[in-house]
Amino acid sequence: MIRLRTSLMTVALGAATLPLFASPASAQLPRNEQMQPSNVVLTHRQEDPLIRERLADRFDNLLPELMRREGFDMWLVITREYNSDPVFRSMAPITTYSSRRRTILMFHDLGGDRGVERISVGRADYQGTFDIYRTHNDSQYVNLARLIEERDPQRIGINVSDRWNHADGLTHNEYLRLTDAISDKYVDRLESAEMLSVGWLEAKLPRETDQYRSVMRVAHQVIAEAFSNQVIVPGVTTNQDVVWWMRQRVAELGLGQWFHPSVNVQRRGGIPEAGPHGTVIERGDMLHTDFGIIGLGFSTDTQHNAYVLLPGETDAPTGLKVGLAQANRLQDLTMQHAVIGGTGNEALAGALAQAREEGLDPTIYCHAIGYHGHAAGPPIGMSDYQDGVPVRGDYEFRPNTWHSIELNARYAVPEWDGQVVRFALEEDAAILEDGWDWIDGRQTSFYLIH
Amino acid sequence: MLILKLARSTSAAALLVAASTVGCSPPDSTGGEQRAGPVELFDGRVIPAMPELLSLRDQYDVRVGWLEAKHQILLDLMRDQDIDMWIVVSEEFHADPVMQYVAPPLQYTRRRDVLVFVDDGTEALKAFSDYWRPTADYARFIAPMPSARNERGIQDTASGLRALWREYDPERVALNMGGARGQDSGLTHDSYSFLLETLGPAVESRFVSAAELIEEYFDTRLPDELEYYRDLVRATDVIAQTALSNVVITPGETRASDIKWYFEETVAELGVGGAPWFEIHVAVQRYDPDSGEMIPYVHPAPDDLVFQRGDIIHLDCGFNYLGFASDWQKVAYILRDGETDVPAGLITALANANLVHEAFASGPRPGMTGWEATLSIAEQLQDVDFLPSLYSHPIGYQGHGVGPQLNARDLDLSNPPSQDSYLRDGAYRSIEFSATTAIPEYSGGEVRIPMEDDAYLTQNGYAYFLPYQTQWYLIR
Repeated sequence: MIRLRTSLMTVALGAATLPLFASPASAQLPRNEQMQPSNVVLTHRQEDPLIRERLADRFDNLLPELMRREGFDMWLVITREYNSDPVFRSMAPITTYSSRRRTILMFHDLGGDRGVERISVGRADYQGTFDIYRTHNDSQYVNLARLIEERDPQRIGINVSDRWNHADGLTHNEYLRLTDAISDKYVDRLESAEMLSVGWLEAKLPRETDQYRSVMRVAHQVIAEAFSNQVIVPGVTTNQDVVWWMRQRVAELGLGQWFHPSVNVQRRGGIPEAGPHGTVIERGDMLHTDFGIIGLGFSTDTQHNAYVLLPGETDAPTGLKVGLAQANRLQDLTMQHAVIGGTGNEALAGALAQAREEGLDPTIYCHAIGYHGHAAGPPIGMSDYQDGVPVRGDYEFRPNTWHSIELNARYAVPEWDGQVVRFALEEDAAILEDGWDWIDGRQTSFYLIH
Repeated sequence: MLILKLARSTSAAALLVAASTVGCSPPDSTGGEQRAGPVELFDGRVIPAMPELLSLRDQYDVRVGWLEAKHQILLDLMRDQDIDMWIVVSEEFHADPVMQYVAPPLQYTRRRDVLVFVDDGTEALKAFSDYWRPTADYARFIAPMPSARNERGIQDTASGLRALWREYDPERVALNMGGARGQDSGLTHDSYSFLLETLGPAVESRFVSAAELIEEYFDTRLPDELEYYRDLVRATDVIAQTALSNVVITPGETRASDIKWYFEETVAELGVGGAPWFEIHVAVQRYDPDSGEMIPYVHPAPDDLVFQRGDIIHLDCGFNYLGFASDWQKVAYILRDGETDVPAGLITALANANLVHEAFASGPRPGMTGWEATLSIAEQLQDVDFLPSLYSHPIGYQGHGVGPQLNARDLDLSNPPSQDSYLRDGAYRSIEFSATTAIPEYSGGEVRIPMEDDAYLTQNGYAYFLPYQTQWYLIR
């Protein structure tokens, strides 16, 4: 994987001409061919036009429908420098690193084909993304109140939510200022925009799904590198060395990270006790990683497994392969039971029941993914909610949304004296109009370390 | 004191193998690029070598080391401000901005996590949270809340908060609200409601704003931080100087947006997890000898502006690294055919800006209010024959830090700030201003020299992390 560099002399290279998704991928991971030079990581400059185009597309073609579906004719997003509203990132170009000072974004449905006007009340138009209503810093709320009076909205959405953190961006401070600035008539019309925020964040355009595949490919390749003898020397390397190698690798690719990755060790005899510098990886170990990146504004979340060969071995013991296959089977069942129009809790109950019937020992904890690593959308279980997730689990699957299929199957491995081993997998998938599709394949065999 | 682990022998061998195979340098050095050495340009200007920055792992270790000292400071500050308890509520993907500076800087937040600091009158700060998977570092700083765990070890936040409230019965409880800025007012409206529901409406009268506490905590610097921050400033200088040179700019070809992306991508390629914190931009001032007029000063310049000979380019840039931010403005000039230096009037204009640099360095003292410091600078500039304009802000954890502003636009002293605070010894400041001078060679047209340098306060005034710009950056 080569980070494509654009020198200033070659800026003419348009992002549109880049292969967003390299050669057709095998759906089974790990792939034999790894580290393909053609699998470029886009620079931020190359990402910029792609993000702007999709942003315009989303505002023009998704937002009006979503505001009408949720019954809001106005939506206010009020966000501060160094404390951005969780939806803000999905509304701004990549060159916007944070909301400026105080940013007040107003979305107002003009009705019919006229779409939604989008206004920034203040001084920042975010590279032409918003029509600016220029005000002095001290008079933003005065002018916001005036704009509201002029438009006389019937239902005004604000980002206050107990159930969805993605929709809870409004600070107490700004809430007080807002309710102080607008007349009581409009205070009475404020309502939580939580399902509008969720709808906005979860809906994906076909072009976004294509873009996401290219980001996922990079994430999978970093894991392939980490889970190889290029990084791991059995008896020397610790799990923490691998974790920090991954962090550093992603930084050097110029990509973002949304959580600190983990690498865990299971071995015959149990889970080894970690020393001060982590656990030294030994031959015969089964390794598991939980790893994600941010690219093109999208987050990924992946869990894969590797096996460190003992002397004389050429493959993982059969028992480990059976365990991994059972986790793959659990993925199939989860996705079969998660259907458009059905809820997360229905998928959970259905998949768990069938898995147990088939003799598996399952735990399922899937979540939506996309603009956040743990994104807005229906969860299928949580690790401590195997009987259903209150409230959010009753939300339904909508087409063109992305989900992280995260689960584990426990299996007693004969070669390890019947020890119960946890086979945890996480793989990101899209539910499209015609059903599920892995974003970039899934792991079906172990990464092998010699 | 910090001991940096610059080499980890256990992993070095493996990492070197990886490096040679995939063209990625070992993580224990700096990022993905070979560090560039000093570069000498045609006019004798030398762009210094890129300083060695820390890998992500070393950054984490350094920041955890600082956290111990910061927690001690936090206890003192809570005592000074008569705050018995500080409650920080953080939400996933909307972490409270203080979170990474009060806990070891890894990601911790679930749907809603609560961190509680208590001054119980003893020598040590008490800290509690409901975080379900504490690392060893985390557990060293922050204890579990006194509440029951479910079968998976997850604690109930509400009962934990109530137990802490009963145990300590705090009279003054600081919440992250009531400040004027984003980083001192992170509490969401819903989380405020959650606290009231959990603790009962009677507690509301005990809630106070944490804004002053956060300002003190954020604007108080550790001596150990200084040289690390200087490296950030050095790196910013190297990238800025390179951007403002023929390495990047070819007159008649290069566009304003190329500078933005050069800065952005160079920071990414450092491989240290850094990123700009605002949109990098340039502005251009240009004199048209044919009409005898200056073009209107457009700030920022549009992306597609092509640099021309005779342009005065002003770059505004900065980035985040190691939990700190830099902020930097410099000026360059593109020589016209036949020129070997800037017109003499521009030399005067830069020298005028340097007078403002000196006024900032010599006037302010620790303990002054922001307004007193502003006056101490302004009084040195009363009789100058150019127009200074002051708009300086604190810097540190954030580019626009919390703390006293030193503002006197066009040296207008008729508007003292309605809210002010005081200058802290050792605190960092972005010394940002402009100096506008009439240029004889431009038919008396005015050129504005905007400058921004990072500096720290001493008993003798502000000391610059790097010498300020006294020579025009020339491009041919």
